[in-house]
Amino acid sequence: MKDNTAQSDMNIICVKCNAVLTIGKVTLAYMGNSFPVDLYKCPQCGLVYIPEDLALGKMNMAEKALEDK
Amino acid sequence: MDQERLYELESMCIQECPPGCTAGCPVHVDVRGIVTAVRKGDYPAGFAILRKTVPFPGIISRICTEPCKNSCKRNELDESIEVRQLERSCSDKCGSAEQKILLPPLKSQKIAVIGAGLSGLTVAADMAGKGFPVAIFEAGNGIGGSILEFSEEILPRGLMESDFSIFDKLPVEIKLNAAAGKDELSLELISNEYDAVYIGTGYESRTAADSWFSGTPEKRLVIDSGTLLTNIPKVFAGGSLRTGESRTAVDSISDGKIAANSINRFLQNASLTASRGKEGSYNSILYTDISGVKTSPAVKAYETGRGYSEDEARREAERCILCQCLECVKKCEYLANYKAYPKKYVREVYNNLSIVMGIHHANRMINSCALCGLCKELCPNSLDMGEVCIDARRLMVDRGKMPPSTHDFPLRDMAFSNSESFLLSKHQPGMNSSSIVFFPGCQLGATYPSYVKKIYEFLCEKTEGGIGLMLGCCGAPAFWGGQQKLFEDTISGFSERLKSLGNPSVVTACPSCSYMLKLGIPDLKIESLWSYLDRTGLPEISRNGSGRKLAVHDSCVSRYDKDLHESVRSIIRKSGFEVEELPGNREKTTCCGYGGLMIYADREVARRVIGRRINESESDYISYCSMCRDNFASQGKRSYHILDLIFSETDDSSATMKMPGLSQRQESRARLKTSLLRELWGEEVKDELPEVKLTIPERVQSIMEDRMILASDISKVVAYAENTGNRFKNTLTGNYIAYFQPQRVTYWVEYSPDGDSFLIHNTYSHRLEITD
Amino acid sequence: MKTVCCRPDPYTENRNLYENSSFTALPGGIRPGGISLTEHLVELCGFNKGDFIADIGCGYGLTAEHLRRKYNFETAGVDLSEFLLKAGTDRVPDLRLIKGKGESLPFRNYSFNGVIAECSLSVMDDPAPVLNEIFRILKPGGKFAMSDVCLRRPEFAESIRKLPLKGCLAGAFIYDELVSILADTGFNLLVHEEHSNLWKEFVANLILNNDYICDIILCGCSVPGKSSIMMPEIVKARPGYFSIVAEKR
Repeated sequence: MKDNTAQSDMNIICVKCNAVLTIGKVTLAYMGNSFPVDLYKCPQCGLVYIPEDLALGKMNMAEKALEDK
Repeated sequence: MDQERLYELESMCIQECPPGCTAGCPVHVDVRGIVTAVRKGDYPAGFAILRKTVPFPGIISRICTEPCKNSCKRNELDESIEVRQLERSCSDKCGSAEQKILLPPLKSQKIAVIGAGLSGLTVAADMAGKGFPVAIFEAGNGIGGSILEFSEEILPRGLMESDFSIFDKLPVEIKLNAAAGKDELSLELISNEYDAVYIGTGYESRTAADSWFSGTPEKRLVIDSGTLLTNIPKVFAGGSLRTGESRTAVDSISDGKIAANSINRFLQNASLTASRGKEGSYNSILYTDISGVKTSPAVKAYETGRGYSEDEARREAERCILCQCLECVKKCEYLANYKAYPKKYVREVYNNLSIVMGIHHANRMINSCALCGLCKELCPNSLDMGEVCIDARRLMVDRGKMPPSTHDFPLRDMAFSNSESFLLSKHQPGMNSSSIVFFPGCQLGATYPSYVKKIYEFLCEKTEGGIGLMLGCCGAPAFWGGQQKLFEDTISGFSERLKSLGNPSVVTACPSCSYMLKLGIPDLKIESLWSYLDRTGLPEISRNGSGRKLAVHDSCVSRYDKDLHESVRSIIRKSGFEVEELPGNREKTTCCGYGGLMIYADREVARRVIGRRINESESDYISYCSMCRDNFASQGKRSYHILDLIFSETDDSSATMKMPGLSQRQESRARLKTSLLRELWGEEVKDELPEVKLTIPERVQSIMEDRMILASDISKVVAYAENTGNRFKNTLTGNYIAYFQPQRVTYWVEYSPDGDSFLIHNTYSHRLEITD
Repeated sequence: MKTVCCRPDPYTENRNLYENSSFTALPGGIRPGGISLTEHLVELCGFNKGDFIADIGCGYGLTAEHLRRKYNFETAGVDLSEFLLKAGTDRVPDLRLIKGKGESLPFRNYSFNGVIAECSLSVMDDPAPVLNEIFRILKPGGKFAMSDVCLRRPEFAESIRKLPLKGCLAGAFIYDELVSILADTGFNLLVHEEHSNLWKEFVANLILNNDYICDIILCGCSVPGKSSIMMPEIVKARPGYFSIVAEKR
């Protein structure tokens, strides 16, 4: 899962760990299906960050695809 | 569904039965076809239809006695259609056109026809057209028999000649002045030379015929009325020889056709009697509703004795009702969607089921029926497509052929409602027994959680012996989805919980719950909330209807629940409103698009079902099922739930309130349970987090509206983030970003501390779950 | 989020669709159900150890290799792309991967106990001649197993075929049509299974993990970052996935 934000633009930090987010494998699940996806997360505590455009864009599109009845 | 039941169901649909006129016509002329052609001004097409059935269309269009008129539906209104005049219009315009005949190879078997009247000529034309050489023996010096007695004015000779010119093109030999019956033309000799003989010498020859052919006047010629075979081997007879003096041209042609059919079978050693279908005149069982058809007298030709002008013909054709049934199809968007009628659908469903493997073409048809029973109610024979579809669904489920995707959502939703998130069964707070238990159902709790609480509190105050509360789903999605086992399990789960409360009687708010529970537990003591309230009294509130009209929509599952219909109307009146009846209501009500899970199997058809219903009246609608109300509101129809009246919320916002999305519905149910436990039973419920104070700018509020995110959702996210410290910070703006998944949906909030509250900058959500 | 900088940019590669790095980089091969659906199909066929099995549209031979290792079949793969075949034999030199067209398979009559074609018939021009060829190379009683994309609402097939799509959806089957071609070819249909759930999962996975393939296959768009919705025509036609096992009569 990619967007057009280059890594150098990353300006989100995990407050708890005071760490800059890095790309890592995250498993997303929906309606009995699960997918490993590359997402930003805190390298220390693993807290996952999903930006708005991703949630409303690709993730929404994937939800729709999975909901296809 | 076995083959036999299939035939039974199929035969209940009468749409394919011919209209009265065609059935009443001895040769079954397709009158609707001719009428349709004349309407379009396509006379050649009309003439082709006539000639297909009648070998001598010119003659028939002048002298037919029109038995069809007796069974014309218009007779019940004004005057029957002038069928012969319409036929004449076709024939006059096209009769002289060259007829192209494609002859099959000539056959070796030969046929003798004795008597060149209309029945004999029909046999000759029919058999010769099949390739059998025919010899006609006629005692007179011309052909036509008794029709020669008509005046030139009624039956122009030119027209006759034109009709009979067909014999020039067929392998027919006409022997005039050849009186059969004696000497070298004795029947014995003729039948030795020919493979089959037809006698159509007219009623005057009856006595002669008896003696000629039997050789003795005592032994009469006997004609079997079904096959027209006589008691002499390979000899057939008909026409007025059989029917007597009351002969008509069309009867003679009919006899000729029946005899030709028999002779053809006879020559091929086939059974003369097996499956002959309907021959001759009969009464059709086709039902046609003529209410609403305007009366208009038959069009008379401008000049007596003349045919119609084109305009007259068209006007007369326009009068035809084009009889057909389609009672169910006319009223059901679902049935109309597949462009046919139940007889065809039943067959398709059956074919679908008998394919052991293969993608099933009719799956969507099977799964998108609302199972609402309207077709059964409207059908003259009470054929129920719902029965066909639910049987088919169960069979598909049993065989593992039900596409899991079809009902996935509603079944999951049901699972949610029957999980700990929503399930509840309790005696009234402070009591340890229940005389009644209230079961509001899952959808009311999803759309109107606050009403559930209010009405339950009201019921608690007034019910003697305690009123318990049960939350959960009745199993409707399983039933509708054909998941019979799951439905039974759900019902028995309900029974067990009911038993744990001491088996009190049940009061339901949702008509589907009532239907399902009655179906699953036949001896259940059950009453609808509406009749209970109507009987025992509504909450004391100021009524605000001030005589405004509300159009009541009966839910399809309550089709035959008269008490419920009355109670609902009574409550509406008691609330100061006037009841408006929609065109189809009570036992003739239509589904709102949700029944049978139609909306999941075919959203488009469901949309049309809703669209049709909401256009039936300008007035605001009122329903007693929250799904009905939500579906109407989803297409912009102002509609209320009956609890809106009771709680005096009959303003714009409740009439236009949008149906909450699926996740919101689940969220609402879960919250309803928690809040009831906490507020009514004073129980500690864990998952609730301390509330936080929010400042939400208007811009964000409109984002929330769009994205269906509630302030309480946001509050949960912020509380969670602040309590756990699990949050991000945008180093450019300094805002915090956090997420929390209270139920199904994951909510994200961008916020910053703002004094003693939190300022919300943005919020969004998704449903894919972050699992690690 | 650009993750790896040294990977080629799929949008600017000048290769045919299935040679694109977006495909070749996928570990399990690019098709719904992956290798477990293949195993399921093969088990339905009831092949024996040592049976000769051909994979039509074998790509770089993942399936051929897997079936040989797991079931001890004698496998052969056919594909049009020399690029992919070479990638396969570079990886496993003794794999039998042969260049050939579906319409003229490079095998003798009656030479296979089984033929499989997974998501490959839909990317060929016309399935009928290919099925004829498959029929020809099968032994009598041999099994043909296929999985492919179908349109669950065939009435929208026309609109799909007008789209600027590449790949399987452009040639998605109308099930009834396929079944009659199979019957005309001389096959007996033994098993049909619908696997549309696998298709959905596959699509969701593409959306989330593979912008390029998602754009090309689902969005009919080959400009990066432009697509965010599946083409409405595709949604309407409701693509699904099915498997068939048929027997040579």
